Amino acid sequence: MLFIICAIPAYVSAQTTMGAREISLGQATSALKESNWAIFGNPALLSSSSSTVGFYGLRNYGFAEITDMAAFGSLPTSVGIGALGFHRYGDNLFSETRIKLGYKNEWELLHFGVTLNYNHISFGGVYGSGGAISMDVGLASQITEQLWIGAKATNLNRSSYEFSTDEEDLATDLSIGFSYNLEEQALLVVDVVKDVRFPVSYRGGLEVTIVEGFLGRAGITTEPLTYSFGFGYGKDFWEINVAVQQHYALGLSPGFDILINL
Amino acid sequence: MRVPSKILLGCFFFFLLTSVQAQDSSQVEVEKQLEEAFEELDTEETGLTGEQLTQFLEDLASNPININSAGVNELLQIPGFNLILARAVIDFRRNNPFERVSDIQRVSGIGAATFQRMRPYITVGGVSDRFANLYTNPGYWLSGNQFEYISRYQQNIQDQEGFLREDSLGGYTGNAVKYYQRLRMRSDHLSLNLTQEKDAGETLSGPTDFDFNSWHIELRENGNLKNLVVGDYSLSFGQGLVLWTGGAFGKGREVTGTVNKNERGLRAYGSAQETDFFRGIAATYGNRLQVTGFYSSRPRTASVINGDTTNFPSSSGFHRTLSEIERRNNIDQETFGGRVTFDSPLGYLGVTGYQTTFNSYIEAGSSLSDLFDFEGKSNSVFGVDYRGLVGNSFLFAEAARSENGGLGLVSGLEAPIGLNTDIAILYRNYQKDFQSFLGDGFGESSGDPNNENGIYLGIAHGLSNRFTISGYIDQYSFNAPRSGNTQPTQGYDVLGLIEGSLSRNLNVYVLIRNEVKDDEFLMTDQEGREVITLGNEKRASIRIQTEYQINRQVRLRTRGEFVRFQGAGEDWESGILIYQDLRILPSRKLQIDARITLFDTDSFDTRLYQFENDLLYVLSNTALSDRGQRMYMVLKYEATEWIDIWAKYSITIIEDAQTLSSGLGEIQGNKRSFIGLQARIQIR
Repeated sequence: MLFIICAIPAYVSAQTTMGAREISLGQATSALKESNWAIFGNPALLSSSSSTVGFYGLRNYGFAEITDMAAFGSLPTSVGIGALGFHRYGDNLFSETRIKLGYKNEWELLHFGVTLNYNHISFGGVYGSGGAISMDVGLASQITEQLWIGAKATNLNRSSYEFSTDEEDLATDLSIGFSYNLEEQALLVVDVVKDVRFPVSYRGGLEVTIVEGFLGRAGITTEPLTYSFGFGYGKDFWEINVAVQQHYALGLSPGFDILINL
Repeated sequence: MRVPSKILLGCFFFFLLTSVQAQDSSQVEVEKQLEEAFEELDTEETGLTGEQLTQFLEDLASNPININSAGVNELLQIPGFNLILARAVIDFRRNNPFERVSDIQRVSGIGAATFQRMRPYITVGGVSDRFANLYTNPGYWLSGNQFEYISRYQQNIQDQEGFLREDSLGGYTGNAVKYYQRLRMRSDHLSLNLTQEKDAGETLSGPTDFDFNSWHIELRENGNLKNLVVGDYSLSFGQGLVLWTGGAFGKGREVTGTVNKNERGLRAYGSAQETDFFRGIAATYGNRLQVTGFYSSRPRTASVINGDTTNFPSSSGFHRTLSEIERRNNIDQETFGGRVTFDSPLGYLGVTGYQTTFNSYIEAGSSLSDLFDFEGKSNSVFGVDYRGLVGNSFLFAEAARSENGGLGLVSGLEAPIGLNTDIAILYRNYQKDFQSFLGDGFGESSGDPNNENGIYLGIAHGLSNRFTISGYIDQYSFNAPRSGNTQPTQGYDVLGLIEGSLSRNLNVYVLIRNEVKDDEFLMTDQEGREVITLGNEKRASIRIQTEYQINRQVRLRTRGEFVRFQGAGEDWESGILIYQDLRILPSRKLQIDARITLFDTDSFDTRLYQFENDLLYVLSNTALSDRGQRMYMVLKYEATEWIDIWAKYSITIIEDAQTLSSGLGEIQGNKRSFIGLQARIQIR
């Protein structure tokens, strides 16, 4: 893994999942209903309950230079839900920026969403930069009261960064998963994620309501192997989530987010 | 493009016709059955038989069988039927004619699942013969009249090596378009058909110049004259040891209903498969005692060894390069024969025989596995077969002998045990010198029944009304070397399947397969010499599929499949495939299917197959290997009551590949995309 990070920084360095709840559930977001950060997960699951803004930060392995920072705003309207997302990773020497514009709607029981993304990477100084536009699509559906299924495909248009000497493909993956309410207080999420270029990754997480409004979470991912824990606390109009992610080789990454329902 | 003018031609026929009917909605069930039958086969096999079977099922769906009047043999054509059920239906309807199709579920042995499978192919019918036996009355020949015209265009977007290379250097002489058209008129007593096809790379200069043309005129169901065909036809009799063309379902997910072959007898042929049929004249006459006679003479394509000695004719049907064109139709094959069946109180007894002669001397190959292959100018095969009920069990058997003295035998049984369990047993013993190249018996590999000995056991059990569990084990041995080997080999093949519905709209199945067979490999011994060693080739796979019907208009389907493979003397390899599939019917006239698949396999041996939706009558079972993704979309649009349009676009991208395929099929780059368009004019 370390080798991959060194060799192809553009792929793995920035995490693609945003949100402390999402990280602590092992990034299994394909069928995670009411995921506020769905614009970075499965756009078909953008929440329709209220207009929300959120801010998020995750310090990868404790290094300030490789921090993920993200923000989003979502707005339900009569013709669907619109959302805008922003993500930046890195520092002046290497950074990645993503701007996402998302749309979600429902037809019968089918939820579907799409995001248009502008991706930019910059190597600092004279080493150049590049941008690329990509598209993600997502589907989800509620099968029973307890069970949701979802799927998401990223970079459907097979976009890549074009540099003067080379080109670098954007990550292209397909993730499929379900979420299931084991009990009223316990939610299980499971994902299978296949990046075109990497081995299959299995992801799972469990969220338990400890007392009203206070939730504990734990998750696991494979490829790369990580464990994560976290908790969340929320009232009607706001919510705070905290996450800790343990990478098997690279160490601990702490993160948190704040969500405000307008 | 000549397509528009073809459509105009079709419109001309439209004026000749009378009533117009909306098309059937049973397409989904037909597709499901094709998928179940073909997904476990590999493409080489499906390529040969797939198109014919697809057409067989689609035709059956558009001309469903009347359960109030059909005889046993007709009922047996319906998927899901066996002799036990056919007899039960006939007994039942004596006192209770079926008023609705769903009434068939009142017949004991036909549950909801069986009914679902046969639903597209059955009807309760109306008044059948208003014009009984008035042969001079045009109404007699035109009753139930249907007209169909299909025009299909398919093309690879990327240039393949064969199209870039000069003709004189072995390149393809024609363009990259694959074009197919079919004109068919069919009534209750008459069928006329013309099928024409040009494969990609074949030349086409005018309507009379198609590489493949097939036509027939058939008189159907005229009293005791069951049918009379002039032109192209297929023959399938008994258990296929003597004569069987037109494809057959073999081992697959359906474990108990498919080991017995339900013979289709003489049928007019209209498929574009270029080798697996007869051309000439044939007729079946009789009722309880039926006699079939046929004569066929047709050109074949074979590579010349020297003078008038050739290899066995090829089954590919491609005539694209100058050398392929040069040997096109270079030899003749003449075949005649017949069959008698007798519907006795003990069951059906049949006798089949034929004599076939080539006008060149056919030489077998020189490798050890070709040692017992047919060699010479003519061959004859003769066989007897039986199908019947003994108590609750359905028994079937066929024994045959080829001219050189080689024998083949197959026998089997299908029986219900209690209310929820069915079993099937089949034993076959095809001697290594049994030469029956017009047959297609049950076996480990489809095609000629020879050099195989084996026993198959299948069992299906309803766990509850929502779940069924089924499986088979098939053990086989080959007494003479098979291709690539120098000694006798053996192996076995196991399948296990659990399928059911978790809720009313959510279906799930888990399929496990495992095959172990002998294979030789080269090993270096202590003295550094290479020695041929017998080892095992193993393949194991597990697949999980869920299908969720959100509502009438939307269906989601998700699949994950994992395979492990170990070649003899080699290390384990593995492969994985996942896909998400979406079907939407935005309106009653439009159906959209879309799928994204990601796959990652270590090698071609760990390739995984996915059955895809495609244009009507096109069978698409795509093998995916290496690391990459595939996406496709199929549209089906009912433009008017008599015009349907299909379109398909697919793209496969392999990561880090410089070229795809090899030889004349080679494509520069890592993308392969394919486009298909089809229109059908159908007037009833």
